[in-house]
Amino acid sequence: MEKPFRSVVIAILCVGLLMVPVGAGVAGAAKAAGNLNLGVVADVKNLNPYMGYGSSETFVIGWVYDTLLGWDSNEGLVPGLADSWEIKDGGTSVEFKLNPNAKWHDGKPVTAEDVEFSFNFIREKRFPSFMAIIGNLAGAKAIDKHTVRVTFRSPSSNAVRFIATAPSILPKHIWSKIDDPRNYPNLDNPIGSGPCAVAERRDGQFITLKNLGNHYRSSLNVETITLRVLRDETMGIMALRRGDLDALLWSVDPAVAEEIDRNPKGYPNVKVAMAPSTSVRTLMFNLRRAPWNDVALRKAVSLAINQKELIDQVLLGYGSEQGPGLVVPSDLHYNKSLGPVPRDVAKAKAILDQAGYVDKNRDGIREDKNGKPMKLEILTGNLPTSINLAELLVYQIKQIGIDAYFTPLTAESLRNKEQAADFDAAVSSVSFSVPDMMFYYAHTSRGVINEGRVAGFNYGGYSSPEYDKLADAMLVEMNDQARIKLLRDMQARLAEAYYHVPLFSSNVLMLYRDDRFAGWTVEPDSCINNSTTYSNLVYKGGK
Amino acid sequence: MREIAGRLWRHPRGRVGIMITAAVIIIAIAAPWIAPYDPYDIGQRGPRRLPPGPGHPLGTDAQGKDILSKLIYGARVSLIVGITTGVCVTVLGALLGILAGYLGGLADTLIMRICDILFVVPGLPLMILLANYMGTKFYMIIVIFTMLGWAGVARMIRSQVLSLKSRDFVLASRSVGARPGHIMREHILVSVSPLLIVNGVLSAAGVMVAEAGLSFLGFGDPTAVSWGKMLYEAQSGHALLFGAWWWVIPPGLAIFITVFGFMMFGYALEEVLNPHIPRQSAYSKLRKGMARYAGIGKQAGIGRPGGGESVG
Amino acid sequence: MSGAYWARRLLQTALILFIVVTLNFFLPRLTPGTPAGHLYNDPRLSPEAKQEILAQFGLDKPLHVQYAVYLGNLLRGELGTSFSYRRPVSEIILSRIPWTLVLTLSSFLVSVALGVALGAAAAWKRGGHLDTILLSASIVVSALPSFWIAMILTLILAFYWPVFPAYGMVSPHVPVGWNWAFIGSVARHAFLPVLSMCIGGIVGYGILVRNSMVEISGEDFVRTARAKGLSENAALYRHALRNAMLPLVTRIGMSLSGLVGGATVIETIFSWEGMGLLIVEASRSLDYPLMQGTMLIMAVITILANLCADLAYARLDPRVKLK
Repeated sequence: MEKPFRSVVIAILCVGLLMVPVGAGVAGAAKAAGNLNLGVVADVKNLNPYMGYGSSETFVIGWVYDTLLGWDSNEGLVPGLADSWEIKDGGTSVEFKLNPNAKWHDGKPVTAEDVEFSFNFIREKRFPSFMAIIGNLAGAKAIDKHTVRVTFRSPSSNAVRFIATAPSILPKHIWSKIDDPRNYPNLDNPIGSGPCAVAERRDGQFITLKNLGNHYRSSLNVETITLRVLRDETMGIMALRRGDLDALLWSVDPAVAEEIDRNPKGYPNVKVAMAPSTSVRTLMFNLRRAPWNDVALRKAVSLAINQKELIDQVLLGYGSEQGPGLVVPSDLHYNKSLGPVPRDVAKAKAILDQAGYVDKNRDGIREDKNGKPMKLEILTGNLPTSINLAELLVYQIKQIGIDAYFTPLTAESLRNKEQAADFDAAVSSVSFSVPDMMFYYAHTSRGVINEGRVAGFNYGGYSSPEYDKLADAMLVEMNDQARIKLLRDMQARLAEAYYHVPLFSSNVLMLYRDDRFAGWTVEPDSCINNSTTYSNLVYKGGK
Repeated sequence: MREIAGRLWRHPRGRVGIMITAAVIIIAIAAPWIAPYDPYDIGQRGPRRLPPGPGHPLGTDAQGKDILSKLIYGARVSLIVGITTGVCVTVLGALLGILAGYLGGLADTLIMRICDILFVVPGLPLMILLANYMGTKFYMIIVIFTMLGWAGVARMIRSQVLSLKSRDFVLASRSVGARPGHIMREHILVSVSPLLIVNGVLSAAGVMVAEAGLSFLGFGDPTAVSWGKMLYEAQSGHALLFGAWWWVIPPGLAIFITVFGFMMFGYALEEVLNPHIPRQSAYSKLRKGMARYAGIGKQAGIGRPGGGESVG
Repeated sequence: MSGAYWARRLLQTALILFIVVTLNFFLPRLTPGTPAGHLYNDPRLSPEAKQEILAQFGLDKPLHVQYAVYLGNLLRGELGTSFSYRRPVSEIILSRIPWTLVLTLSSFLVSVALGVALGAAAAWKRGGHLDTILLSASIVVSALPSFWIAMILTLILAFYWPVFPAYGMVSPHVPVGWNWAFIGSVARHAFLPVLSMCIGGIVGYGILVRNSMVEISGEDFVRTARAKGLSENAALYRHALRNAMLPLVTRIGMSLSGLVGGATVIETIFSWEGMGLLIVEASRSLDYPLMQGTMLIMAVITILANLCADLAYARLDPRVKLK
């Protein structure tokens, strides 16, 4: 053989030899019995309970550590590390009685001193995730071995819920020795009091939790839980279909759900769990800008919106229409009389005619009080679904004679413009599941402009003295029923204001397999990723 | 001009290049008349995720828009971005390269140092930052590509100018007292113009691939229909899961054919404009030239003519 | 190579580095949005609380003070702590670079080896089948976007015929370390990405070698070698190939700078945890220290690669004198 050819052949052979280990590669370890494989898209970058915020991080931290209480969507606050709690002193302090059997993973018992330490730690080290509550937190004191009292500067029903369910309780004997807690990743064998410990972990790939089986309260039946980090959603779905994963912990594209619903044979044993979410997508008006300060105009626009068409086109049907009270029906404080308002283009047009916005020159666009054609610029995000939604909105609003158009922006640019109050209208979303948000999104004080920036989240500048009074009262109302009444009044006021016009509420869609584990339970917002599921899950056997 | 066109046509690769390039340009201009649907019109959407069939020869996408129509309209963005950037990069690069090469001294040092920095700064993160800051409308993309791409052209032109500076006709011109501006325009520019034209065409091809790559990563113009964006939608719309090959193959083929046509055109132009260069070394020269102008794509590390990414 | 040349070169490099570092600092801060966004955007925060959060990240001080702090840290070799990882940036970068190198180095080696062999074989029989195929292939391949090739390959080899895994770097539960199981798993996962990357590379290097060899096969010294009685092959090999070294090395030098950052899109498609993905991630989450660190490392590597390429070039071609 000629030399050059020979060298080519040799080169190809060498490459081929290199591929032998390729073929002989491990085909993927056999799945351990009783191991729950969950797919996630967010990496676990650090396990510092007070710094980690990604969804995977909070998942792991939630299993390794305990909080004082838990939150159930039906019952509200339920026992956690604490068996019982009592609100005292007009709401400025709460006393928790801890479960005497609680232990740290290294065997030492959990005492009130650990709780006292944790809260004072938060205050002293000023962890940014809790900055919102630090201002109101006066301190924590251990009364006896299993009783601890937490005190606030001013009463707040939500503050109690927050400190009881958000901060994990840390072991004093470990964390008091750490120099720089804000920069401590806590990735090596974190010691908590929760049902699981971290068994194995590879950066950016997976993390495995082991059920220690000796928790005082949890009824977790699964032996181990592995979170597989997937960078690409498509690959995750394919892995689920192959059986490598038991469930995916993110809300999938409606197109995927539609495909699986249409073609169940192509996805054996794969099920779609559908849960309502608690957030509402809205069109937010800037009430500081004419003519959008005219409530009749806003009402007309809201009547032009066809929520059903939006849900069909953008969410492929996986969503629900929302009423102008902006609270979802699954929330306890939902105002039943504020259901979704059906679209009525004729009525919208009549309102506009009556308010003086008429199309004098017959070009299809109405003119405003100054004779100029009415234009509405809608700011929106730049993801494909946002663009799709904006295109439809513009189409619908044009039907009533207003020249609407949209401007896509990155999330940061959009927020920038909102904070600068530089917009006509913007696609936004609100979630009033935590009732305090109704204060932060609509109280006058949160819409004030300081140095060119809006003080809070009331970007559109809604201002109503009656609403403010109700909101102020709601914040400090400790009686549940009274607070719910106030919240319902507030919703009624918001409904009349047409400040945030509801577009829809999307469903949370999660995929899971039903062949290895049974007991998947669906709840609003969390879908299958909730404590009830994990209490109910049983291993059915099989590979 | 006539003569060049004639020679190009007779050149085998030239003919292919002209035909393809002309075809794509005609398709782009005539889009509203030849496309069966208007992808920007909400009222013209069909059923979602249809495979190729009657009514939709290439199927529909996740929102029901006709793929064939998107393909036709997509030519517009690719061509506008590619050609405009090619022109701008060449013009800017030529200007600065000639200034640097002919004037020398401070101008030279300044311009060359800026080139050095542009070569060293990693392109993709820079592009993402600029896209965040300036927005991703397609004219911004043109600006960003131009800003990052002129350095390669400038360097190449400068070395040409340096060798030209000492040639007879330039020296003669100077001895008669011609002003630098005049010399740069009449003599230098004229001498390097074949190189510029070829470079411009090949740059356009490189930019088309780079724009596709940028759109694919999600940083393209969100409202425009472009081939790169179609691939982005394919990836994020789970084409691989649904086996929707009709989302993946047509846009890629379109990019390939257009770039192929431009490159054929560019190669043929090179050989026609400089007939005394032997054919084989034309390739190696072009390879070196392409590697420099394609600094745009290489900066981004997102694929360029020349194949592959970092290697090759 | 004179000492004066190197002195000037060093000075130039230092200046470029300084400007890059400065750009590196200011550019991320020009983009709209706050890096601690997720923390900063809690509606319950009072203005004082927001200020405090900014202070914790060192973002409350005026820009020039932040800049001075940044420069000071750099001189001490500190790249800062990532906002989202809460770990030193250098640690994160060091853990990701090897993975990118797995892809780029493999692709590089395969491209060069196969490319040179292919090019030499093509040049040997100029005008023959292999030669024509190579020439046409080079043009075709250069027009194909590599990420599209990657998508097609995944469609065929991971979806229709599931031969290779479509994502990730290693199968789970495989013990890390220098054992066959681990290496095999990584190799399987790397096959598709590397294949996508080196298709263009093989053809590119092939054409380069082929052209260089063809160019000089008519030259004097080859004719002399033949006259001396050497077979055509030996002449070709010993002299022609060596001559092809020069452009080859130049090209290799230019490719070196892409070793660390050049696989971004491929990494995105295959979920390969390398530098490319890190850069995109950092840019998206506005993690300033991480963004600055990665950009700086890439710039430094590019500068070093250019230096090496120039050195090698000067060594190989005695005609070139670096003044």
